[in-house]
Amino acid sequence: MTVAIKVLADSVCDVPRDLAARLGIALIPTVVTIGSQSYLDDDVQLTRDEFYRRLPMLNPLPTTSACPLGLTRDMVATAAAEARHLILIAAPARLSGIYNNFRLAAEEFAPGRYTLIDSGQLTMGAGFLVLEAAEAALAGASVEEIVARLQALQSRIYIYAALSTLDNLLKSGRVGWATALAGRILGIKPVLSLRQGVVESLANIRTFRRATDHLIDLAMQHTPLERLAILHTDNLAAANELKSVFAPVFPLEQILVVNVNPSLGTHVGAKGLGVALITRT
Amino acid sequence: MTDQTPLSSEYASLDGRQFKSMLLAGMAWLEQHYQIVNQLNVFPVPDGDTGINMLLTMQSAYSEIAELDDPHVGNVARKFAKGAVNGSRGNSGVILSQIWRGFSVALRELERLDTPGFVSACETGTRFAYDAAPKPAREGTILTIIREVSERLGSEVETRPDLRDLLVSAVDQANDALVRTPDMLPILKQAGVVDSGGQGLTFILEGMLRHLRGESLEAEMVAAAAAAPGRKQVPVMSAMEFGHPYDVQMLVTGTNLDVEHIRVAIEKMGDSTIVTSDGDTTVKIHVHVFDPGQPISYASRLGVISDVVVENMYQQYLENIGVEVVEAPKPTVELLPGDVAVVAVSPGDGLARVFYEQGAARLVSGGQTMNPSVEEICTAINELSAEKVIFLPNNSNIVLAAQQAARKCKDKQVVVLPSKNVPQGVVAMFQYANVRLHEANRNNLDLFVEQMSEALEQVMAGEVTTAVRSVEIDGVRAEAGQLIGLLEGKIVVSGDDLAQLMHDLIGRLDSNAYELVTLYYGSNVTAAEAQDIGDALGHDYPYFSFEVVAGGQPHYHFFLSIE
Repeated sequence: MTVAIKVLADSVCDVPRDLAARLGIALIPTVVTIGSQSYLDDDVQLTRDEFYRRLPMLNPLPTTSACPLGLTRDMVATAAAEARHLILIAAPARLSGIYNNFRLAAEEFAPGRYTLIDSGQLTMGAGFLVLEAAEAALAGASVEEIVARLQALQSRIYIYAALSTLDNLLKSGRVGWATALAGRILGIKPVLSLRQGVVESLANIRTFRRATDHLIDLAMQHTPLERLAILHTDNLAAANELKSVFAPVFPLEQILVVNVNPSLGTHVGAKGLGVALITRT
Repeated sequence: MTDQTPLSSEYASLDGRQFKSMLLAGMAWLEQHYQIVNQLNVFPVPDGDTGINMLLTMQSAYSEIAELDDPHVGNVARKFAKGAVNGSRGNSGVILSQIWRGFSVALRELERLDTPGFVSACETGTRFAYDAAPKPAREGTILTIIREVSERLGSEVETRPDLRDLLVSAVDQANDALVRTPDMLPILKQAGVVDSGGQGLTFILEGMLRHLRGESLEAEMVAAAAAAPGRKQVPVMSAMEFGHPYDVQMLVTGTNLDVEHIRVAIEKMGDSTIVTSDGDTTVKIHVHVFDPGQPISYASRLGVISDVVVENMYQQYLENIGVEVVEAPKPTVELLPGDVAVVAVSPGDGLARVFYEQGAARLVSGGQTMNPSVEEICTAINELSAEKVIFLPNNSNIVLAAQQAARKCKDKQVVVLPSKNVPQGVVAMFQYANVRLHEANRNNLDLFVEQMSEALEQVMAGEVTTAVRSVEIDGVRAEAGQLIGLLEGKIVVSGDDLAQLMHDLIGRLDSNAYELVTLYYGSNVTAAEAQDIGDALGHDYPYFSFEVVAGGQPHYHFFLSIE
């Protein structure tokens, strides 16, 4: 079966599997290595529940790596055979090697008929772009229309997160400013934002409850909202509570609640909360 | 110190020298009794010691006239008031200093102190004291004592031309008002004490009367002379209490060196400044500073420097008394011109590290048992290059002195954020750090004040200490020497075992309202003890997180920050 446009993304975008299947999105898994054992982040080799059950006990932390080039080539080749044009949406090039692997595979199997987009985002911040692209493709939009749509959306996507621990961020070493917080006397719950691939510290707060309140304040300043997802790292009860806070400003049934993928979870730690949104303004 | 001038037999009036002797007698009598005043705290905690605060205020006042030999009462009163205001500590000390300010205003033009002058001084003092006190003014305090004294004297001034007689009435009225203070303030009645500040003032008036009666003050004056607070047996001084640690000495050789100019510049860098010259080519500089680089780089711009000696006096002090040397807490914040800076009061080295970690630019040593003076606060603020300063007193008994200091620092915009305890100060500092995360906001004083003020309400404070006397308050009984636990200033538990008391105290907390308890352990608790207690609490109360942090504060086993 040949389709006009197929959307591919990495598993870090956190689009739920059922939704991806329904919209014809190919999710290319990244790799999480625990000790000497590597797992594909495909919700089969390593489920999220199992990962987070083990995470607090893991020392050293798992390591994470981009979608393996071999698997990426296979999946891109399959997609290239199914579709006339590929839209590949990758995690930020400045944070991961995914973008480069996507480029290599697409250049090999779909030269001249692919579009590679740096989402500038992680988890559902990227997931929203993937969903938009797939929905538009199913509705018959052209590549140019889809790309223009995604570009317009990128500046309206916001992700905020409240972490319950600073340890994982410190150990991951991917966020420069976090190292300045090493060796502190008083513990903190950092509140972060992710914009255009840059992780920024917005506030350092003593308690998770107040960090969550701050998160809500940050999200609410963007109402009215076009899309909304609640993110958590193995913190479902708190995520559902957070979801209900948005009832006055957004239809509850349209709010996705996502347990964040293990690749990202390794770097931010368990029991965190977050919000991904697209603002209408 | 035997400059007691004999009085005329009539006691109709005093000259400046006699007035000075009378003030000394007031101070000396307070010195004899300040510990009684200390013990009148409503809560039996070693807190906001009114007696020592009033005494230190009096000593600072007297130090301004100690060398003075002036027959003019107005001059003596003016200098005495200046010293009182600069050295005032704690709420009672500040109010006392305002009484002396009132005296100085009323007596300004008087050569001799007579009875109408004394009455007018008391009246003006009363007005100044009420103006300075927190509003609404609380009756049953030192304010009531000075007001009733001044009213009584006002009604008797026509019939009592004799100063001694007038002071008899003053002391009589003061004592009369004092015993009624528990009827005016229920909290005094509950604790079974009279008002401490009122008691302090009464002692001062009594001492003045004793002097007019010719009762011997020799012993008291010796005591007063020896009463410099630094001579008291104190535990190891913290780096902050010690002050400027570096002794810097050097010679500068150059042309046209302006000694006065250099002295002014060096004085701004620290204290104990000595700048001398042997002609106009060589200047010798000596100063105590926090940053030895500052005077050295300054001097190297003036000419060639030589014989540079830098000594760490604090390290020497610790070595002399056999204490292991640890690195002193120091600021971490890097302020740019225009930035809002924070000066905070910290009662221990551990807490100093915490305040510096959140970005305090300068700390003033002090707290529960030793309230910093207005002058110390002023100095700390003035030593900063920042023009906009937020001051955190971190103790309700320092708020008033801080407000006085803020008014005195006229060259700067100073805002006193009335943090009542250390936990409030720390959460305010967190907000300070958060506002600073956004560079564009770093000079926005209003924004800092707004955000930090909001934070004050986000934390509940707890304390654990030893009861300094037996007490029963709100149904909790504690014998002197027993441990007591307080929440928001109220005693809620007592006992003999620290771990058990901590368990009982945490048991009082609403598990739905709080998630994090920070335990700042004091200098009377070891790190291992504190950690054991923290671990046990974590086991007993799994729904709270416990953080154990070295506070280093004296007398208090723990400060608790409950969020």
